[in-house]
Amino acid sequence: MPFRSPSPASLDRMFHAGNWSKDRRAARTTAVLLGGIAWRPKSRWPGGWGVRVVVPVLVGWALGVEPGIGQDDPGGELARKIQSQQQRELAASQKLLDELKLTRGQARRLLPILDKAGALYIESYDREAKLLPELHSALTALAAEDRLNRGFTPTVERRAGQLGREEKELREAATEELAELERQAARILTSAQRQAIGLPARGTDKPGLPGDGARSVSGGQPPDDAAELERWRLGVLRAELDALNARKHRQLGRLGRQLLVPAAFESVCRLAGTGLSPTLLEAVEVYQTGRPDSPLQRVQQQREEVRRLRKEINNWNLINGLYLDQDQIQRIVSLYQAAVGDLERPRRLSKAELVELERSIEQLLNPGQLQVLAEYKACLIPPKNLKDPVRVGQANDDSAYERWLERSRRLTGPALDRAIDQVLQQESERLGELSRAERQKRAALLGRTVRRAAAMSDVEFEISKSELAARLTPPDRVGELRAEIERLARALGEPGRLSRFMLNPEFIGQLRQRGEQLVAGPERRSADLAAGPQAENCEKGCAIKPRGAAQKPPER
Amino acid sequence: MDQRALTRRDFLVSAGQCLGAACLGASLIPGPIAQAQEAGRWVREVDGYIQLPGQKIQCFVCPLHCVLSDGETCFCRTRTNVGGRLFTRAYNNPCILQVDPVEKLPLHHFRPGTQTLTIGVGGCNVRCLYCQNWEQSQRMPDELKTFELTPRQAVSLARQKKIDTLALSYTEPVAFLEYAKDIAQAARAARLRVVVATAAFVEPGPLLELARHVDAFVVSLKGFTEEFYHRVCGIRLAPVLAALEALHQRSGCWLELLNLIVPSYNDDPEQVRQTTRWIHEHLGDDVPLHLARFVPTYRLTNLPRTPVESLEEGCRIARQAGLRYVYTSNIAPHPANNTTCADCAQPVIERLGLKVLSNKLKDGTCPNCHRKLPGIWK
Repeated sequence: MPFRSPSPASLDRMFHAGNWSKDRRAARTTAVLLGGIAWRPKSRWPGGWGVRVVVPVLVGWALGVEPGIGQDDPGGELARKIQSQQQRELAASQKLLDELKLTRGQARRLLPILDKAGALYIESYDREAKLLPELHSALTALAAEDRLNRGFTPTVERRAGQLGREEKELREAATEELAELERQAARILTSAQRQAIGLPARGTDKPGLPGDGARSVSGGQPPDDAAELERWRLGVLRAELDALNARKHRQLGRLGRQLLVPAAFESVCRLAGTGLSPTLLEAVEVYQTGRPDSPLQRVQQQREEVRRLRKEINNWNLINGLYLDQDQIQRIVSLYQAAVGDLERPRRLSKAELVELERSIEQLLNPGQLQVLAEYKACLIPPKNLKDPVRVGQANDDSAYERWLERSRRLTGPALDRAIDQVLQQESERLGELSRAERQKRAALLGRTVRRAAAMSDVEFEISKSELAARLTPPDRVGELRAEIERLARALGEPGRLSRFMLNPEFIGQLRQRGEQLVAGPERRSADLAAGPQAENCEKGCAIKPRGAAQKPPER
Repeated sequence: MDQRALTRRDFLVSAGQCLGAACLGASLIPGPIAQAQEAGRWVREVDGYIQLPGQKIQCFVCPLHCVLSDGETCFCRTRTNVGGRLFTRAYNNPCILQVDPVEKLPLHHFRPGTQTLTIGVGGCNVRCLYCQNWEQSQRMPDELKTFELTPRQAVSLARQKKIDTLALSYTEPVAFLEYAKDIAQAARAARLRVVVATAAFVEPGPLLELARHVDAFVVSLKGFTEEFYHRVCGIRLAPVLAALEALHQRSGCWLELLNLIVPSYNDDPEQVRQTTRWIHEHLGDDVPLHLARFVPTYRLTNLPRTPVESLEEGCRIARQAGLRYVYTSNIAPHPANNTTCADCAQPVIERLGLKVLSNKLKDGTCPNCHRKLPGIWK
């Protein structure tokens, strides 16, 4: 087996481990033994990765200073997590490179692409580091209000919604740019290399469909055995759902995930026979330790905290939407406790146990609650719709099409074509790229419906618009697939949505809190009616004086 | 060109001619009533008022008894004194046209799962600080985007949509009483059902006159103190209670009550207890009561939503007071959205929000204990 020298990243991690003192001797020995082999500065730039990364670590080690990222992490758990994640990424990158067997020429051609990916990594890190503290505080406020289930104050809701959107846009923009770089990188590969990593042959890759890793939707030939047939169908449906999600949310292929990342930079440079460029070196530094004013450990901590808060908010939204009563809550918690033992240290349940628990809990829920659970999609701020008080998560809403029809029914010719194009554009962004045939079909439906709406009188349109809009709303294929997958999975004895959303310690913990709230009863305050806003009344006369505005009927 | 200075005589002659022409023109211009009618507004002179000296009038439709000088409009924003006669601005011009489930009114004991063609016209004689339709109710009809719809057209529209119930809701039907009455009459003649959602701040006479053509009423009983009614709604409680009693005793219409629970304003258990006791004593134990969750809106955006615990507590109190059918509104899927048989406690109608998931009643009878549930089921 050929000896592969450790990268500076792996060396650096040894010194940045939270369990430093425990492994100190081993790390010292390894560093001394391997450092010399690893550090082969070929950099044309002064102060290459060796000087910038390894030396400070060695100096710190010599001085006996604990590594910086472990400072806010007394147990060292977070540092260990970061370490193991980086190790996994490094191993994945190495595996990809082993499979690709890049030539020196190819590696050299990859360098400018890596440079752009490095710059993108740095920029994304900096923007994320700036955004996370604000998002964290906004979500904390939102979770606190969600816990009370009395709605959100407008400022809290607006701020959380805005920052949540910013974070999503940041992530999507970075993925978009990286996907473009990925396409450029794929062009450097030979057909054999592309095949080796599961990329489609050259010229057939489409945006948003990386090809690698995505399972075939057809799923091959169906098996003859009836029992196996159901399982095969489940696989096919899951693959279709994956493919739909990939269309909706841009996903990176292996090149984007494992080659255009800092974990691979050093290896590619080595293959190219060159050192790390300043950008790549900076990206590797950021990847390993973060920035002086936003160290990696702090950012990682905030990322995890934001993730936890999102999960907590999702749980509250579901709890708030289910309207479980005291008795139901008590019985669900008892059933869960009986299954997992200690609620603080719950036992991991087997698939069969989960299914059994799920069935018992389902019997406690009423039909409405079961339907809410079946249609629930996690979201940060549940949409408000007084027309339908049941909307808990993101659900199909055709009011946007109603408004669009109202505007468009007065348009004709090129103006109408533009309006239809706009809708198609928005749908592509929301649901994923549409094929040419799909686009034509949708455009025809939109045009037909607008013409029908235009032919109606105002009165007729007013009472028919929701019906027309419902026809325009694209079928919720994802929802249909989810429901069918749930049905098949349940039939095959697999746990379903109830397990996924409710049977976890966090949800049960929050459910217990809600139960305690219900037992305590409402927090009662009596407002001084005289102090608040006062309704207009007839004390100073009822008559309304004539006004000019009232005489003019507004434009329809 | 002959240019000469304008003499004083020429000026006076021209001015006199202009004045004469203006007077002649003015005499040919139609009067305010004709003008208004031509413009399609104030097309109906209304009943229920008396003329006072000096072209003043006094309206007696609602308990405010507004006194209006010429050109002035009632508190409801729809009745205007035009030259000593009272005209309504709210006729044939609805601003709301909707197809809704009957559960939205909310009516839970009236043909569950059916739809209504709901009509609303701008204006209202109540000034609730939390009005959910304030954009329509707190403006004059001619300040809004409206549709042209005669009572006959309303009926044929419902027929065309295969809807057999017309609902007058969203805004206050008392403010468009004449239009409401004509719609109800036309609907009855066409064998359609009519339901009305109102705050019942109206004199019993006009209310009972309307009720002659109506099948069911949902009355919003907003609180149970005069102070609450005065400060939060701008009106009085006593006339509402009188109207409710009149409806119950003399109309023969099906009646359901709605009480919006506003946190810290009217959620005091004692107030809920008094309300439910009064309902039990004066209207009976079969009148369904809907306790609705408040959602911050209009001028009460500083308040949170009603805690679910308050609504559940309200339900308990109402049941203790003897009411048999108590529901929660604006929260779903809550167990109190369902209709339960008062005898055997079996759920007979299961709802998810405004949707009826299952209806086990057979001709309004519980399939389990065969008790006849009160309401209009066919």
